[in-house]
Amino acid sequence: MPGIPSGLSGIFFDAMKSLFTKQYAWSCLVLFILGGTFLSGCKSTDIVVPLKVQPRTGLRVAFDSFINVHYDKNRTLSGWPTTCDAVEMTLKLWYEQVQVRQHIVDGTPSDLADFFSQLPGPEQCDISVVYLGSIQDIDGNWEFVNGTTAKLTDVLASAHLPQHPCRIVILDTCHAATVGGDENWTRHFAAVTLLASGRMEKTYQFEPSALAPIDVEKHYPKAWGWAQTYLRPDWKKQISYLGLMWMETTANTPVPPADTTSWRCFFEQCRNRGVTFRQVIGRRWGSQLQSLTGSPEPPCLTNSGLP
Amino acid sequence: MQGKRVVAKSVAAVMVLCLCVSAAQASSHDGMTSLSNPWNPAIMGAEKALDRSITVTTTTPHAGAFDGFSSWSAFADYDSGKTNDKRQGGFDNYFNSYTVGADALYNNSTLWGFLGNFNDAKGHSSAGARDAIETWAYTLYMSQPVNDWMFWGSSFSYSTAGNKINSAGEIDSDSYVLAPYVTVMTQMDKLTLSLSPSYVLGYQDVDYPGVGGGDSALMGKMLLMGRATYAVTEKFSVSANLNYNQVLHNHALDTEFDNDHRWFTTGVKLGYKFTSSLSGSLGYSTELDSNFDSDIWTVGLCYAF
Repeated sequence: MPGIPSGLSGIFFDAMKSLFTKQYAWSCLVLFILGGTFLSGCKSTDIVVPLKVQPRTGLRVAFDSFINVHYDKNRTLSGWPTTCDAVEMTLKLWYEQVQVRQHIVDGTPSDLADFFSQLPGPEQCDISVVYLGSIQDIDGNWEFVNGTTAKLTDVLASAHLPQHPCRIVILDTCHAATVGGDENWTRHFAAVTLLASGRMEKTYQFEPSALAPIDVEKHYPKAWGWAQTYLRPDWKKQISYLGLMWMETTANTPVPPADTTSWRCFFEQCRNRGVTFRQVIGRRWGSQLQSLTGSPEPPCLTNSGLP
Repeated sequence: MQGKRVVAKSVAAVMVLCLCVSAAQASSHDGMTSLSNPWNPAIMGAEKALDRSITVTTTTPHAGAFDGFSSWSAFADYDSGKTNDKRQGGFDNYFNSYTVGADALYNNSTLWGFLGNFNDAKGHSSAGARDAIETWAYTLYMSQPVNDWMFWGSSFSYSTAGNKINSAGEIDSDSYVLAPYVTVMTQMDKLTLSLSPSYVLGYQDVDYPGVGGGDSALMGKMLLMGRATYAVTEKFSVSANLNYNQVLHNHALDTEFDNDHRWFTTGVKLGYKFTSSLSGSLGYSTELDSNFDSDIWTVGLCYAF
């Protein structure tokens, strides 16, 4: 064996050599890995039982969704269909009369225009809920899976849009707040909108089973319990950030919203949970959820209950 | 889904096969600066680049569009190692290696990165000769996804080394290493498996300023890198790797050994996320070989902007 040279390497190796012999080091590492795996497997599988909600009667609710999912080059938005399912399931738990209408996946710009044109009017339902998910750039251009791009607000303007006084829109994209400057959006399309991100922000996907980027089961046991209880047993364990905040808020909501005011308050609670996420977990993976309304509304009564 | 299961089983089978074969293999190596040496800084640069590609490819997706360079990361590694050439006249060296680098996603899909490394090695042979090798290595790398379970990439490394041996004077060398690769990977909840076959082509130009003249070497080898990462908690992960090296052709400086060299390197790494942006790692790697021994400890930091 050579003499140990002076300097950092000698000190480092002296320390390591005294701490580990080769066999001892490997034994420790193997035991550590096996122990960690065992302890991880022994973690409690108790699921928080979500609140029982009495469904509202007498309200006709329609649900329409349009999501772009299967992009090429490893950019699939695998978690977004889960969020769409979570919204649909929430409506089915909250209202007795829910009509699931359009469910478009991987459409084209003309499909999106047709989708807007075929949204229900007030004669067809009392509340129209619309979920929109896609890759979107900072200028509000949607990228479609066939490689084309189109500005969301331009497609909306080109559609023969039936207006609805209680249209609730969920826009689950990056840079979602860019629609805030479009008058057509707030005047003719959406009474209340939940935006997944600020104008300059991206919104990320979460994988509860892979613990990435956070341990959802640990930090959001109610959302996890809600998902395990109400989503399909084989749900993909991937969900968008908005979807995670949605489930957590839904799991804490005892009374379903009945009008635009109470929907706006529900969205405010989603936003508040997003703020808490950014304060507690960190800003990197949490975008700023926002609610957007066309006209001034009275303030929400409380943070925990809906009017 | 069926395809992913087949890939997962294939990856696991090849890794187990590699582990079994490793016990039966014995190999030999050329000198300290040879391209056949797994701890040649240019070769290490190529492997670090491959490692970065696997790490970045498993980052969290988002619903953002093509927007030039984004998701920047900067990283720094410190490696400290002992390499022991057990052959007659072989050198035993301690080395310190410092690496800094940065990478980013271009158009939200292609990874481009650069790393620089300084390696300072000192030691002596059983005959009493002392050596001191200083190497600077620079590596450019990229990777591009093919689909959600496969990507391809390549790295190019250049290194320049000065080797001072008290009994033989000074040797200067320039090395060029090109390493294209393909990676298949699968994720099963907290466990991620990947397998990366790579063809590593290296050219080395050697000068002997003291005595005049020079020499050159050309080496091509297959590198099969298997890696498994398990997320123990959201902050703590354990990964293990097993790399099979098979020299395919070798026109080397040292012709003492046959061209059919093969060896394994293996290691484990513990990763910890201090914050959502800052992560650290501690790793140990060694070589499964009868003629050549090595122990290398690595500490690293990575900051994602």
